[in-house]
Amino acid sequence: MSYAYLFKYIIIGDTGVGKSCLLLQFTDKRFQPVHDLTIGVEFGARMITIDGKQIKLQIWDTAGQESFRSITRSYYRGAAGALLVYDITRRDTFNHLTTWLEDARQHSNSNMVIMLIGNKSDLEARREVKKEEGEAFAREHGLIFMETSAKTAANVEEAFINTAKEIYQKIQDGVFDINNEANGIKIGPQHSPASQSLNVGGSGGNQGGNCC
Amino acid sequence: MKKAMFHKFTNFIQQAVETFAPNISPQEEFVYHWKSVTSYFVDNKDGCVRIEETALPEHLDSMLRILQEEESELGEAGTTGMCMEYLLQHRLLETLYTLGRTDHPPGMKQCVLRFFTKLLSRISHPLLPHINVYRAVQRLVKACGETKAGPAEKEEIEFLCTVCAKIKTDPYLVNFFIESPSKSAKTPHRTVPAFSLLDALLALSTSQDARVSLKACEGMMLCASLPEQSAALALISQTKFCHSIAQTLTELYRKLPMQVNLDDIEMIEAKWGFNDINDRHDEKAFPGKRQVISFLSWLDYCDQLIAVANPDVGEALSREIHQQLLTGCFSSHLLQASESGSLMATVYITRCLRTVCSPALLKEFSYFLLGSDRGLESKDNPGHLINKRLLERCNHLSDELCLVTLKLYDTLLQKEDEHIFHCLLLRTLLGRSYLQLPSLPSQDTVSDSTQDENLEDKKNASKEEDKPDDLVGQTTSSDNAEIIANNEDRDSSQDHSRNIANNLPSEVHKVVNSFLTLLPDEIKSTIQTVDCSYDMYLRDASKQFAIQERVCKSWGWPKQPISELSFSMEKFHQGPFLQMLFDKLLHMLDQSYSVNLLLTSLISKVALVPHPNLHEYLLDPFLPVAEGTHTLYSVLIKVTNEIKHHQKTDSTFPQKLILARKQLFGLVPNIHSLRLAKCQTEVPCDGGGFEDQSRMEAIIVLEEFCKELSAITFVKHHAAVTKS
Ligand SMILES: Nc1nc2c(ncn2[C@@H]2O[C@H](COP(=O)(O)OP(=O)(O)OP(=O)(O)O)[C@@H](O)[C@H]2O)c(=O)[nH]1
Ligand SMILES: [Mg+2]
Repeated sequence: MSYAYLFKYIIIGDTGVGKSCLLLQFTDKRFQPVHDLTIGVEFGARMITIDGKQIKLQIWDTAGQESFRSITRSYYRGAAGALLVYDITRRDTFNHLTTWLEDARQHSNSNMVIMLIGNKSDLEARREVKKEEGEAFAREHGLIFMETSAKTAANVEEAFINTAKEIYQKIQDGVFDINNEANGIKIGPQHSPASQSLNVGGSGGNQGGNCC
Repeated sequence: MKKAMFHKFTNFIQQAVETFAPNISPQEEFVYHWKSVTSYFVDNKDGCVRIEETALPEHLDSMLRILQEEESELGEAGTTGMCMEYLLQHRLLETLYTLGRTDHPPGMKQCVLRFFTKLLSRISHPLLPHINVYRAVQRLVKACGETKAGPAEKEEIEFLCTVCAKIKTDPYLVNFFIESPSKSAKTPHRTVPAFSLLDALLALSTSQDARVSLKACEGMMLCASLPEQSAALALISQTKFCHSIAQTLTELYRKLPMQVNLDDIEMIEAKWGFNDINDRHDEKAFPGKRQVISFLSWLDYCDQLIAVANPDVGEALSREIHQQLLTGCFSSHLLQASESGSLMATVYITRCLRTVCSPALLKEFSYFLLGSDRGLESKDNPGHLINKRLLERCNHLSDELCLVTLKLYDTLLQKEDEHIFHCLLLRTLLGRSYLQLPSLPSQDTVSDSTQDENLEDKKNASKEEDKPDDLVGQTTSSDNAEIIANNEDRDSSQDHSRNIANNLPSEVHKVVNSFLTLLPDEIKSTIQTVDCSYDMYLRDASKQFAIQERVCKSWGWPKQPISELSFSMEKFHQGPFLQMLFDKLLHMLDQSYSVNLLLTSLISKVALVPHPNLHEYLLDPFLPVAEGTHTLYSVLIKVTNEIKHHQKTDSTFPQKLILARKQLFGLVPNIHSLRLAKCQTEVPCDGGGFEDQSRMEAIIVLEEFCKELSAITFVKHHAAVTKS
């Protein structure tokens, strides 16, 4: 399908916080209860519409396991957006955010939009990290923030789409050099006029999480 | 359809368990499922059904579920439950391996691989150290990558990478996967590689399935980055790892297009794991782009791999790349006489250099281009052939060849490699032989406006009368207006101290001004005092200098100029690289605008290098130098005099100059923007046969360059003073 822009995202955060589940919910609208450790990196893609423009999101889901760190860092390069995820039921995953953020800032381009996500909001009873703490962390580090549930799909669409809107805004403001593919943004082929009428929202999800 | 079948089986099995044994223990259930698996193979000899049509996957999944539940109930780490004991004692994994090996029923291999993968990743109890686990795992590893494009590729790579991840977490585990050759002494002719995990990954790295090959590359990165020396050794000496990785690179190099737009190569972005070769919508496509991307992506992979690898592995692979790609291909391509051939080779090696950042690989590139010898060039040491040839090309008749070669040096100076700076710039300066011997005070007092210019000019400047009083009280304030206002002040001091840090603030002004006033006002196209571009030069210089300082920080360069005996020369020579720069600077008026832009940019880069010897030699016009020593300042004065000569003989000189300036700077504020614009589009102002126009452009470039140099000098002085 033709698109106006292609944005590259990465999803990062400790193992087990629900990165792969967020991606699966976004691309396939499914939930996977079993934790199958991501090995290295996985990818998914979906088309969304912003400002009447078709935008293809190419999403790289990385392994949270420590042993993969040195490898997944290679993928930070050339990403326009990052979803930094922690698990609201596990404080340690929140405590590690600083390390993740430093890593991301060091290995990515400086304009990368980072969305902080407190996942598993459906598990209110087991909550260890208050929403306010997430908000404060995001404010302090200039990130966008949202709590999501990959299980109930609450805020999942919004998380991916708001990140895209922020990137889109940065393009409009001329912050991103769209001609430099190292920024994780690519201009698509002339997109079809039919797509102009669509509105903001992630209505056009594709089946299957395949990309490229 | 298949799904329905699954459910049927699940329900059937569940019912069977519940009906026949309502109070069955997890262990009994586990054994029941296992027996169901084995009995299938006893009962069904006909191999025409697919695995999906059997209950085997369901039984295996149930076994996994029971094991997981058992572990989470046990809670305590380090203990194994009954089911796990059963699995270990009865060598279930080895049996499964054997069943998978035959791939009967079709799909069984995939099923077994999935079971192993999930078992290893879902069970947190360390299983691999068990002999009954690692033996089976190792056998299964060997069964991976056997058939090219086999149907189980995806499961194979998941399994292999899971094993890699386990090893990466507990690196000693790798020893279970390295077969020491002594064990197989029975078969002395054995040439089977001893690190089968890596061989399997290598095999899968060539898969047509992009995801499979990407994961194989990740797995190899994990293996290569193990801290265990035994693993590094096995990988280097027992496998084809380094050879294959480098060979792939070389093969991709050979497929590169030889007729492409040079700008296309420069603009192209290719990062390992991040390219869409399959993207058919690419609007910036050109013939051969796919090949260029494949080559650069693989080079980027090699670079990433070397950066994270065990140092021994990183060095071994770098040397292999040196041998196969650089010596094997690039060498002859760079040295060839054909202009277009060597041009392409130069463009490609420059583009390669931009990608390479890992110290080990960068070292091989710099050894290849500049030689590994760090000593002074002499009769016995005539210098590195490739470097020599490249330097000659900087003066080639073909503007294009000259430009791309200059760009190569420009790129070299942007790399974080001490060897490059040492070889190109420092080795001739470390002996400080450019200094005038203290016993020979110079007597001449010729004014520098004399027509018959010689190399003593710069020295003359330093012999002018000193007026120290005027300078007292002036500070290094970054107030540019002050500097600019003082730009007529060309006083010099005799008690000039020859190092950056100890320079009196006043001297900054003199040095800065000596660059600013090189060109007399009549020849300037702008009036200095109203020129705000100087601010930009200052800002830019301080930004660039900060970057350069950070780059050179770890190289332990001295703060004060040093005189290293081993680098001292009887008669000073600045070395071939600086000589090339000076020669070209001297011929600015006859060179194309593009060459001049790039040349001045290169010299600015050199000027920013924070080495005290280089600094004083290059940027201190008042330094008393030995007779016959060429310096940047002496060259600039020669060029200036040539311009003065032209100005005197051409009555329309001022108009032409203003016109040229308007054309060049109509839209942009300074030389940096011009250089940027030059990189992106061909600005059509290369003289075009109008010798005058081209000369005027050169004069304007020189004018801006002088501002740039003075800004750099100021920034460097300022940094040194504020630091001490
Ligand atoms: N209740 C609940 N469980 C979730 C949610 N998101 C993920 N999980 C569960 O958390 C576990 C881990 O999820 P994954 O998405 O596989 O975790 P990951 O971050 O990809 O982990 P790695 O791949 O190892 O880095 C799984 O068992 C999921 O079912 C959520 O929003 N709510
Ligand atoms: Mg995952």
